[in-house]
Amino acid sequence: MNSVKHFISVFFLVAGGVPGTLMAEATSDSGATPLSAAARLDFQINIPGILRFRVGSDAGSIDLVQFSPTAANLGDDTDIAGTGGDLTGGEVTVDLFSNAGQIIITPTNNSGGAGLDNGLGDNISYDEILTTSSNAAVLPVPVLSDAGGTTSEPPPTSGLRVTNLTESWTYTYDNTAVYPEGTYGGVNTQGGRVTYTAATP
Amino acid sequence: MALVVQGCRKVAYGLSEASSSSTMPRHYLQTILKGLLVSVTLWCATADAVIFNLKNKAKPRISIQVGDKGKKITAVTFTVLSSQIGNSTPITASGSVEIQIEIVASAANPLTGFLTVDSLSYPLKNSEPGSTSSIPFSEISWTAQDGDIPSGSFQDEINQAIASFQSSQSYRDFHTFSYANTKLIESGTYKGHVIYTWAVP
Repeated sequence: MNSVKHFISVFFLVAGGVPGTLMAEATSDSGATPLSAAARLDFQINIPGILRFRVGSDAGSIDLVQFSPTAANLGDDTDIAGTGGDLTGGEVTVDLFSNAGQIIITPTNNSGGAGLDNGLGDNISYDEILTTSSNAAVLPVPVLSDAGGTTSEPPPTSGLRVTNLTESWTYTYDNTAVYPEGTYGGVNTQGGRVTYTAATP
Repeated sequence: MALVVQGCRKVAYGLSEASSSSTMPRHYLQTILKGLLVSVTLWCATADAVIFNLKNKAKPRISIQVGDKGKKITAVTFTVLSSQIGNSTPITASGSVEIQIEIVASAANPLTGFLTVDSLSYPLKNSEPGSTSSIPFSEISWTAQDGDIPSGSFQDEINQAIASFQSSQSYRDFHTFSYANTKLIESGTYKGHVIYTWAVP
């Protein structure tokens, strides 16, 4: 009989150890109805910050926008439409995608503050290049300048930190003055490259 | 006592009357028999579902367990890659969550238990300072391993019905959760929880 008692004691000591660890989010209720038992389950979603910015063609190429005023309208203040750009006619795609807060777009250029030059010591200021947006309220353009640094801040499209925009910018030559003949700027030369930088705080 | 084991997936037994023994006191034998039943239950701890039919006069009782044993509240975590944000590629959480419910009542007075979930009261909120962004739980669904506690998705309701069961039964299933990832959402860590309620009206 002692062995039976010992078996029973050991059995319930061992077996009792398992349900005895009754988990924190395990609850029970008993007795007369109604009965109710509740358990919680936590969820967590980790969303990384992202900023994607595109001006012009996709796939890493850099577009060239050219202006060619005719001899007849040199400096007569007639705006000259551009050629080139991924949308042609001096128009480029602008794609902005971010979930990381207010975006600030800043243009700079490689002219050293002198504007476009023709390699002969003559310059055309970036003030002569105008930019318009397909939707200025949603995706305003930063004004180009010789020194660069003029910014634009497109408002978030959702909440305070999410922006998802696809618009276009179109460039024209203001043609306000007569300049010495020549080719001003170019593909990453003579101050002709503008770099737009989008940043979040 | 009759015992039926079906491939260790579902176990049903009935207890009508313990037989007597001429060599051992009756209460010891009953205790041992109860112990054996507990052993069978523990032995089948890896069963996908266990069903008990108790014919003795059980005191009404319900219990629920959600998540890992020994942890206060289990957490389900989704990590979205920056290249996947809001592109509708579902993100599946690693591992599965054990959900176990039990309802016990006498055969003479059977009860019906109802499993509901509240996925509205504590939505997933961005923990970044100043952020008011949140993700609704309707972005999260689950797949049941066995279907005993069926697959579904959260509906952003306080009392979303999941399942109902008659006494006396115990069901266990494993749910794997998935985040639909349909929204471009602010960066940050989103935290919230749901509450499962297992109740008899």
